[in-house]
Amino acid sequence: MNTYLRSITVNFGLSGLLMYRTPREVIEGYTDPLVAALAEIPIYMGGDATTSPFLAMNNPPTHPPNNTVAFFTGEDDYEMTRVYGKWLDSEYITMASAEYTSLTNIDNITYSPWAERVLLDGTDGMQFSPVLDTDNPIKAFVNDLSRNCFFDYSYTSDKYAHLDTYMYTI
Amino acid sequence: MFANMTENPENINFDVRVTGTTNMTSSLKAYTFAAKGHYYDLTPLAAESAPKLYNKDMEEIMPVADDDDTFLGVERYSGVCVIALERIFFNMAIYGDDLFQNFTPELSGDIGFFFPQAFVKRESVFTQD
Repeated sequence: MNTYLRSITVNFGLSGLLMYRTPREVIEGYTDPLVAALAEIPIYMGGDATTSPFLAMNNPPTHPPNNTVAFFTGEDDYEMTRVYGKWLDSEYITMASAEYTSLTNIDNITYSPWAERVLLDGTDGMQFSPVLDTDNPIKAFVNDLSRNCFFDYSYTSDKYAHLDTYMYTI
Repeated sequence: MFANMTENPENINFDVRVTGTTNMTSSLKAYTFAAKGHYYDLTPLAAESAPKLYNKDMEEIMPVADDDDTFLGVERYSGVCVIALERIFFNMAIYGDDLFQNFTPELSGDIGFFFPQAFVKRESVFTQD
């Protein structure tokens, strides 16, 4: 009985689960009976009149051809923009880090990863960022010196065949 | 790192006075400093403060970059460290103050005379086997 009722609901209430459309109809548009029926029903009865029942691939109802939304580009006054959210109490995306201001004092700082090169503090020197370049130093903690040390590029070693080994010196 | 605090203001916190050394006083709890092996890259201003070092045949040992500098060898694309050569030379400085007088030549009051303590040489290299 349940199966029969479900079949009745699907085939007569929803005009069937499957539709057969030609490619031209799909591209240029057809009126979908279910959406059309929903558009006829008042909203308090569960209808939805906001979606056009005419479905077309080259003119989808979700892409209105004439909309009245304006984009403020800030060309006249760039300060007339709205702040939607902040990251680390800043309007720009920054990274949180810590910096030694003295031997015993570590201050929390934030800085832009795009403006400054971000180096990992306290690395043990086993792994650095991939695709190294020769212009920037690498940083590693040297136990015997009790400090994070900058290593500058010195030369390229050919110790390992087919591998470029950049030698950095302290 | 080994530049003195006027050359590199970041070293003010570490009280690095002589280029070619770095101060270890606070971490070793003694008036020590670290230099590169055999005082490699030591500023010529402190040349008289560094003792001469001889091998067993009484030939003076001169600093060489390959043996006395500290290196990290990093594979370019992966960033994996494949070579690590650490050569660090710990010293104490004896200043020509009230305690150390009547030396010939006289001990310098600013830079002092370097007294070698230990040479740390840790080397690790990936082998291809």
